[in-house]
Amino acid sequence: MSARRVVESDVCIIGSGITAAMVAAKLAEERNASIVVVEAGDDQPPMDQWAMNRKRWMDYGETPWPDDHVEPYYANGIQSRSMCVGGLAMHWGGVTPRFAPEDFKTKSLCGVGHDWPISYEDLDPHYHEAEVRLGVSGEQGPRDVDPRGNPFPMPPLPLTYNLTLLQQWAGKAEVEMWSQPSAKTSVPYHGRGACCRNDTCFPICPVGAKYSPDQTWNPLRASRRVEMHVRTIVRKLVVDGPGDRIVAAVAVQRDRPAEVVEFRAKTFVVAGGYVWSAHLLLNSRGGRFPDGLANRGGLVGKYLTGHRNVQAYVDLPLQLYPGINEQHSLVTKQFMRRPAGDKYVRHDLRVWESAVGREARLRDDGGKLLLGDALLKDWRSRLGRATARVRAYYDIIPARESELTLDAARTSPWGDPMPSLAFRDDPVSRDLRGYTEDSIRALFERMARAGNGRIIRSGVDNFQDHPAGGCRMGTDASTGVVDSHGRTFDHENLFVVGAATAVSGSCANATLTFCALALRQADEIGRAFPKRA
Amino acid sequence: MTLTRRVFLKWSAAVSAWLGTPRRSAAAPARGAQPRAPGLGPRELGPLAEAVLPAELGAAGIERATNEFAAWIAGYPDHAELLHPYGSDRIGHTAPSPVARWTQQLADLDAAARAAHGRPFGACTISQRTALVAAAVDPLQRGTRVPGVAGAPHVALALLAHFLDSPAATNLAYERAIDPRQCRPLAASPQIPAPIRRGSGAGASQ
Repeated sequence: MSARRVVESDVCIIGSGITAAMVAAKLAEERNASIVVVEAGDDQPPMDQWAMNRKRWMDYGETPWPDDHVEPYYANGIQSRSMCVGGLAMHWGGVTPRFAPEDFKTKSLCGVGHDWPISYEDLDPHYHEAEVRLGVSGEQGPRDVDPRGNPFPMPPLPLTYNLTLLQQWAGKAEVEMWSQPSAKTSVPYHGRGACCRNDTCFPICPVGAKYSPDQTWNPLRASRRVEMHVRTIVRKLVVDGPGDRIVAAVAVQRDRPAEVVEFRAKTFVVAGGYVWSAHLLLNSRGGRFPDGLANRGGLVGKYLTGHRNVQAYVDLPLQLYPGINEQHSLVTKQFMRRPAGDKYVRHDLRVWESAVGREARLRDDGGKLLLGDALLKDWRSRLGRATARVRAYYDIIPARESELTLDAARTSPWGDPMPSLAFRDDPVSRDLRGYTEDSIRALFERMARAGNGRIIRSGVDNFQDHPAGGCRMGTDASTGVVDSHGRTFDHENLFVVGAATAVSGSCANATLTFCALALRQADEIGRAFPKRA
Repeated sequence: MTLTRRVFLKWSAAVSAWLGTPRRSAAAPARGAQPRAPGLGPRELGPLAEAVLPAELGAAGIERATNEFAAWIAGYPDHAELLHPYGSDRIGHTAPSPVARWTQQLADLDAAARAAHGRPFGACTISQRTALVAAAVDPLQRGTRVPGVAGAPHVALALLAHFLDSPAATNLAYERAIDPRQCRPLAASPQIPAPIRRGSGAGASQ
């Protein structure tokens, strides 16, 4: 008979990624509630080791985040193996655009996809709260495509010399671009120093100028406002009593696998992202719930969503100096608004400085080996022109069968099946794919011509970036797994927050939206507990 | 990296040949020396660096680049976990250390120098050394692309690749203090990077 340990709290949050951090911080600040966080992975190195870890990554490609994944917890084609305290956002790029208002009502406006149960206006204050909590530096874009109720908490990251020239180039093609909003400090902010262009935001900012969830977790844990259990894998949720309430999360601590850990709480919050949220609900099947929890409508694991991209490198007659701040970019949202009457093609557009085509090389055009001064002379001869990197994420309407399922052929040491992922486009997006990608390439070519340049090369990334869904919001159990506040339709004290609840993936980096959703969901979660004085 | 006696002796022999000096005791490294791969320290790599790096770097710049490459070799981790990529479930690891192969290549260069010029590689003129390196590297280098350091087919290309990946190389090529991936004031980013003086050792800000 295995040993059993019980941990009790008001709120049990499963997962410790960026949206879990948002929920925990908000509840800890605003409510009298004991909060337990359960994380399958390990703590990551403290910031005083980041400079050294960064150097080893630059030197050898060595991961700066050791032990940030757990065997065999992955799926085919998973975006990231990260499973650690802070999750994938320990090594995210820190790019934080908002979705467009149109994203929330594609059915109403364009007749495709599904409307969200909330509007952009509903989410606007939570977007702002997320921008404040993450510390976002941003520039107000044209208000008709970039509406916001409050200004950014920090001034924008300045446009580099290179980006200023590229902004002028884009303007010649009638593309209005501005500084990409980012969770990076343009000025000292809440204990974080200003960004100093170390330019390795992904995978590691050595000075903490970029937001990462440890910045939220460390003070919460140090002040004991949150009790975190690491290396602890929640295997299933247990239902009992009236209202089909969740009474426990049953887990195993990886260092004591023979011991069952039972987390008991008034409210359970699943914050496992697009993979592990649906995976836990499906793995909690049994008894009256043979298809898993919160799955009355059969939608758990469905409607996985994201966006593909088309990118290109453009040769331009400009003198740029690659390396000033390569990870910062220009952005525009003008193509996120579909012109009336056009086919459903919506995309963002970003422009970066690039060194592609300007690198040193070891043979000249005649094939002669280049060393020493000859190499330097050849290199300099090719620096009189510049390269711009352009990329557009385009919106994909997800099919219902874009899904996560359980793979019985691959199991954990405890016999739990691992997930399998299959992203599938809705027929509307599938049929428009070629047209969409051709339209974006045509835009790139128009921009190149406007600058007297040419496309060096272009390509399409075939995977769907910034994946989300699997427990999407809806108006009832036939259209979603959770309501607009993240509460599951089937279990009154079970919430899913963040990425998993997104209805669609838009055509822009999505982390800020996931955080805004989580903060809105935290409002509702908190209502069950008294306000802090 | 596991340093077997057999490998160590091979290195030791190669170093002695390279320098044209009496063999040092394998068991008696210099006091205060940094941990490093025997045979691939700054002293052994210096003559090679002069042959493959741009002379415009100057003696100080070449010495710095050589020291940094030697430190890279000394810190090389066998089978260290790599950063896992987006969109893939694959976990990769660093390749086995190239040190033994590179050490042999140094010895081969030395043998070629003795055959062609009757003296050790380190005693040849820079142009003689550059020609010897070119002859050794030409058959190994495919295409124009600079290889990754660890995967370079020859130690000369590894040294060159390591330098070309540095802020100093970018500064040298553009003749501007761009200092990629160095901590620099954000407020200066809208400005065109300041010029550096040609022949100043690339003005490599560290």
